[in-house]
Amino acid sequence: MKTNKIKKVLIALDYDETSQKVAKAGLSLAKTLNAEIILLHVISEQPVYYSAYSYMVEYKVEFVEDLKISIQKFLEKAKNHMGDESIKTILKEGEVAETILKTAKELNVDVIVMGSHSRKWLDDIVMGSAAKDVLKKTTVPLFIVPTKKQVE
Amino acid sequence: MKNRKIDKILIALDFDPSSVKVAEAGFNLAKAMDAKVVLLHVKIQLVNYSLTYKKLGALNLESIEDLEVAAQNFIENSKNNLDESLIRTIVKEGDFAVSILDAAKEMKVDVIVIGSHSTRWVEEIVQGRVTNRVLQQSKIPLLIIPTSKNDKTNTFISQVNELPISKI
Repeated sequence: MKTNKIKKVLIALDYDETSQKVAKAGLSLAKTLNAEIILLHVISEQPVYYSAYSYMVEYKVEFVEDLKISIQKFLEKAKNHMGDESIKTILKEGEVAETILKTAKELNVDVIVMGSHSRKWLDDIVMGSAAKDVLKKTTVPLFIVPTKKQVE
Repeated sequence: MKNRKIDKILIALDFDPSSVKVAEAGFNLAKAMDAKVVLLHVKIQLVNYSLTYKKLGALNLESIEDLEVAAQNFIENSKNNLDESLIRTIVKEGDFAVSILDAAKEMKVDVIVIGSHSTRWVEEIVQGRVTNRVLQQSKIPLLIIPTSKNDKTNTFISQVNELPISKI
């Protein structure tokens, strides 16, 4: 049997408290496998915002630029926290599931690491109507880290 | 940040031919991580089995006993296919999600590997449609291996040409 190793790990982080757990699991996976790490955050396209802010376009642009800066900082912080200078950070905009898959393909990663319940990602990737479609399309294994809040 | 090591991997298989691919992917991961492997097969309702078998043009199962033997054979076969003797195999009966999570808990595994064809599993495990309570207690990551038919290029998993199911 041929063994194809995991050499590149794409860790998709959300900009919330789940990211730490996902980053940790991804790091653990990558380190054990001695794989390259790429941190990705996708700024979700929110059509709602467009309609809501259509009368204040400038504000919206400013907001996205601000968001980009803070997310870039956030990714850098995550990278530093992981203590590995070779980690790449990528910031993209678009439909989340689609963008993750596209990035994974572009970078030729061997596994995608993401949280199960960070916002609606999983709904987009695994569950929703588009979800099964995406999962069918992906040729990259998905490593899903449970990030659902514990209900007591 | 502390690294949590992955020591034990649970590979959940069903009778779908692509299970071989799932098993291999899981095994590759285990090998790379120097982790132990638990191969799990969850037996489902007889009705579903007959459907699967029909699709594969395989045997008729007359009883639960036959089913158990077939399940065990399948798992042993997968094991041989993986060329590894230090693998534990388990056969469970009942609900997919519950059985998988139960086994994962019992065996104290660090990762569960399943195939994407088992969307039912994925839905149940991840979304907890049926098993909300079990899910909420689960803190185990899932590795979902794409197993769709139109999946041509896969750098992670070697191509599987021969299906062990035919040997049962």
